[in-house]
Amino acid sequence: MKRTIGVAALLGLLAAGAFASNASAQCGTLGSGLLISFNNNDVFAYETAYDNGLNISSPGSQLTVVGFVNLFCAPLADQDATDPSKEYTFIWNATSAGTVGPSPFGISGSKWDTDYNGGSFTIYMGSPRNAPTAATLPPSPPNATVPLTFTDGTAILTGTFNNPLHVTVTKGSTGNYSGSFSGTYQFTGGTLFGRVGTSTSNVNGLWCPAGSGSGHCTMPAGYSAHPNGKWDSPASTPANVTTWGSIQALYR
Amino acid sequence: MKRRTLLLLLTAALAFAVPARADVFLLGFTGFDFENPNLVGAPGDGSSANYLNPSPPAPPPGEGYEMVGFVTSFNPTLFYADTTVNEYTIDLFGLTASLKAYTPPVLDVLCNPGRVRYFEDAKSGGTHGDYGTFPPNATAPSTFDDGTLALGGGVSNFELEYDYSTNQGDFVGNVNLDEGAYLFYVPVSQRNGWILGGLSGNEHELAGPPNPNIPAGYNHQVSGQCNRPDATPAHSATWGAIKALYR
Repeated sequence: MKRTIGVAALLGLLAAGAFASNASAQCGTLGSGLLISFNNNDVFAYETAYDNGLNISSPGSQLTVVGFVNLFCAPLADQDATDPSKEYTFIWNATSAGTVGPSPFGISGSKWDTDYNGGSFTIYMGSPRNAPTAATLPPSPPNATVPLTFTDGTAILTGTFNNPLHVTVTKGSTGNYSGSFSGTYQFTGGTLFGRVGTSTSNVNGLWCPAGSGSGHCTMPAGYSAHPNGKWDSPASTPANVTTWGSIQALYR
Repeated sequence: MKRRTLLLLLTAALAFAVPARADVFLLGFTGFDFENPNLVGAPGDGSSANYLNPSPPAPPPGEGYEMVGFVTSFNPTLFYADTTVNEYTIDLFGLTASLKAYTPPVLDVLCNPGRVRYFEDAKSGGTHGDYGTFPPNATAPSTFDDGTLALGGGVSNFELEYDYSTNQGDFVGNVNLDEGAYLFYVPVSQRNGWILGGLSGNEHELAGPPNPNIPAGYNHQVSGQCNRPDATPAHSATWGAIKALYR
């Protein structure tokens, strides 16, 4: 029995550390931009009207992205994304303007371009860990756990994406699939809003389309892609309105 | 007899299962890329005419692709890491352009084989990865490829695409892990996988808005990951071949 508990505990620790990286050293050189990383395997995209075989998102299709944050950098570095007693999760929502493609490019490549408009996001801190990882992700979202378990807890940051959030899926001349997403955002609220302010910054990264070809990411039925990326730091630090009295009090 | 039948049934179930090529996450990374060697154009000039030229118009061996950065997430069953005492870095290098096609606004570049290496360096006493500017420089790639070589492998079929109208792109390549202190953690059947990366922005390109987060002399922000094949692949076989295994 003890051995069983020990094995279970070990597996639990492994699962909790599936994207272990609690070190601010991994944030890189100060000024290189990284603020919040979801550069891990536990990020999932799905839509209400997306054809995985054709890589086509229909106009009006509702995009949802849910996932885990794996690293916070200054000025959020005190948020420990690897703390096993809590989880940092997020959700994006945006509306597809429809996919343009396949468009030929280069030697023998094809690409599919999709703009998503009206996007917003919320980052949560919740406890205990209850959202599924890639290993336990149930198919056919929305379902009992997706996106529900990614949206419980305290909303630490909310924000909006500027139009458009652009997604490109490519099939290169070597036959391998890949993709990327890129856009800009600004924070609008949340309990940690005071640390980050409203300046516009980048959100970008890899967009690995779901499928079974080389370069595809294998996902349960109903998901369209695996995003992997980051929010960059806002360009300026926030300023708070205060009184002379409060300022003088700081130096007394 | 019962045991033999059971084995046959089990093997048949495996053999006739739908062939599935599930991928397994190895690690994720973020960083910046640059040309090395940069033989045409100014450092950091990612414009279509000056970026990743094969030879000619560049002199032999052609312009090269390199990316340095930090490993920010791991699969602990395949990659041993202790981020409390170490930092982990990536250096993707040695990829020289072999073929280039520009179909405005999209650039498509194929590269000769190179390598990717992941390093472990102590936070205390080691050297923190420092991008600096205009690489290669005094700190990049040198502070990203020092310490213990944790894992590395050859990169082939590397292809990079970049769309100048949206200022984003991606790369994909096959990776055969073959070196490093932690290579033994990765089962032999999972050493041939692939590397994927999303590219964004360019401070010095002629088209598109500036991206203030890219250090001068670098070309793109990179966010990506390495995937490995499933550890238990299934393949087709005949009944005769299966039965022959147990005779």
